[in-house]
Amino acid sequence: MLTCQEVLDNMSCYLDGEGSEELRRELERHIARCARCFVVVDTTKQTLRIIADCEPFEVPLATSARLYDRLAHFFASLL
Amino acid sequence: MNLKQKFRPEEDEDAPLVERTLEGDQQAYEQLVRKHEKRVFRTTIAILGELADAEEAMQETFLKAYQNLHTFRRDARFTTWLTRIAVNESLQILRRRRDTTSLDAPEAPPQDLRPRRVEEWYANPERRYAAAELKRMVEEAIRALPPAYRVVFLLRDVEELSTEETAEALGLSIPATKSRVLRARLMVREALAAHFEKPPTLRSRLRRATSLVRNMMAMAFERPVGRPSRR
Repeated sequence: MLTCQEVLDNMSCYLDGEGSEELRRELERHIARCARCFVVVDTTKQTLRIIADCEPFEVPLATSARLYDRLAHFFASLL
Repeated sequence: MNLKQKFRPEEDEDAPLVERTLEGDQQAYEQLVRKHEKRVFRTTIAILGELADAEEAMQETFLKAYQNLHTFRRDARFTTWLTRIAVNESLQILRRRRDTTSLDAPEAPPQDLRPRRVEEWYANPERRYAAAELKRMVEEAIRALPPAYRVVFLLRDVEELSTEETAEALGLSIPATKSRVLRARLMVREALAAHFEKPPTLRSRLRRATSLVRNMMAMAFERPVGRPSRR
């Protein structure tokens, strides 16, 4: 049986759907009985879902506008 | 892992726009910029932290990419190549400002990986907050990461590059990338847990204690007879 440390070390692999079938099974066997590791794996999975959904650090409109200005100037200078 | 074997140029969805740009079509390049400005900005803000610096690095990235597009060898996706330029431009600005930081030698890694907040979270915890508030919490959690972890996390988990592409864009090894991704994920989880977890109950503590004992028993009984059980 995997130790809690091994579960932690292999968690990314598991969440990314990588790693062997056997590792998956072992990890699932562990978290089925270990409340602490279950929470850690489950909430890390939720973390990744929430982060991917919320689109952090969007480009401010003014920053974007200045980028296109600079490009336009640059293209004009090539003429 | 050898990227050159793995990547097939026909898989790059940006290839037609790249070709048109090389033929002199500036509008094609503008389309590339529109498509990738988010990613480039996230890369530069992750490394630099300051908006003004990130903006400068982003502009330089797109100008350099245009000027050097003929050197783009199609052995990686365009976006990986572009991200790599964004990383280099950011590092140059960083060196100018602080002159010591590098992504290869990050500050001492956060020592202790052991999760501290281990209470369950509310169901759909993100719905407990308004979208703007949630975004602020997420950005704060990511901002609090050490820079070398922040950029790895943004590329891998916000931009959803593969581990290989993240490693390639940052010039890191795959094991180093994986280890930073894991640490960053745990740190961000810990920060969000402060907002999302349910208050501890006697029952949840008891359940953890019980499962700890059960695990130790299971491990002890799995050892072959005659060998001392160690944990």
